[in-house]
Amino acid sequence: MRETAVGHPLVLEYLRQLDAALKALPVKNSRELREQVTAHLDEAVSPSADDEAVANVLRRLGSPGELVAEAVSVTGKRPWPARLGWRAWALIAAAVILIAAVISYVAVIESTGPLIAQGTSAWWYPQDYNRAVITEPDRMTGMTETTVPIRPGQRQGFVIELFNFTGRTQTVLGTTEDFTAPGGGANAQIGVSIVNPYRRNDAVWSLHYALPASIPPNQTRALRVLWTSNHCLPTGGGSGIRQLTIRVRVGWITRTEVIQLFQGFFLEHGKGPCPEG
Amino acid sequence: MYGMAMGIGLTELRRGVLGPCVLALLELRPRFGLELVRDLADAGGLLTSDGTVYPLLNRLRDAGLVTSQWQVAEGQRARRYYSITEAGKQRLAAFRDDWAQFSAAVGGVLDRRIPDTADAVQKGR
Repeated sequence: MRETAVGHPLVLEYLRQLDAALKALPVKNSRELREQVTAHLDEAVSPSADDEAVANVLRRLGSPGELVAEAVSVTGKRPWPARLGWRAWALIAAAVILIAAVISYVAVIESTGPLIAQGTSAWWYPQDYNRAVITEPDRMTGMTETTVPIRPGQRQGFVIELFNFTGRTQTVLGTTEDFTAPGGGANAQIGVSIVNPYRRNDAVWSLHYALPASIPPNQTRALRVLWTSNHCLPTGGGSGIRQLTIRVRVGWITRTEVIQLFQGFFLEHGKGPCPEG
Repeated sequence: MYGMAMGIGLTELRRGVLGPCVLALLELRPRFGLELVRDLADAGGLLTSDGTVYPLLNRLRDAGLVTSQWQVAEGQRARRYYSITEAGKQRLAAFRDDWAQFSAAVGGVLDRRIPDTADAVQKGR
């Protein structure tokens, strides 16, 4: 024989359902009602009662849902933060920590400085390199310009050096989609040297270029831009580039960096005939 | 539909009068929970389920109309006894006055009958 009615399986199941329903009530009211119902069952059910007698008492008591609904109509619901279980709170805490970590990470990456152009800045092909005319620094921008005649239908391009002064490796992925080469050049290609040109004092023209290519912290890589010049420029006209916009991945973030060239690369009207069409 | 509406009406009516009935029982003497439930059940028709008494007792206590305290009698289990307060007694007295007028008014309306048709026809002749 059980010592108290509370040990009866039907009573235990009833109390289990009651505990679940009581989560809707404020904690104080919930404890109070639990205690009252337990005392009621302890008094109303004899320890030797059979299942039918126990079921009768429980039926008269009303379902846990009804009981709590009645209590809610009197006391109001438990405030929603208290209704959440520890699992829900653990999930919320984990989500908050994750979001904070992601935001911090993005903030750190976004605060990482861009690559900067320094060192070599020259035309890629000898026929351009040898004919380049360098102008005096512009009064407004302080920038010099190197100008060569356009060679319609032929490859032209330039090479610069990029220095990564930040503490994070930056991987150059390419130009942005709206990139336009000087002179409306087509088939533009960008490449980054896979080694530091200063490692063996190699000339930038002799290096191997690839894309994507990483630039480790405090290292320099050569960046080459080549295109096919396919426009004729009118006499006295010119077309050039003073800054280069590239896509760079830093950590898990891909961003756009604007590289200010310290020397603008310009094409001007050439002497040769323009190709037909 | 009509039956359901009547059922809800009766439930609301019970809800309204159960508090004063509990106060009336406690005015006679302090009682523990199951004792109150049994006395109310014996009155007949006041309880839809035994459990509804407990939230009501808590509300009465929060309103200062009832107090409760644990008591342990020799050879018996510990029980929480509920007693009526002075404020509870005043509220009960006020309800008794209101109820007398209210039930008389409701009774007066409900007791009106449609005159017997045959009788009405004869009187009309």
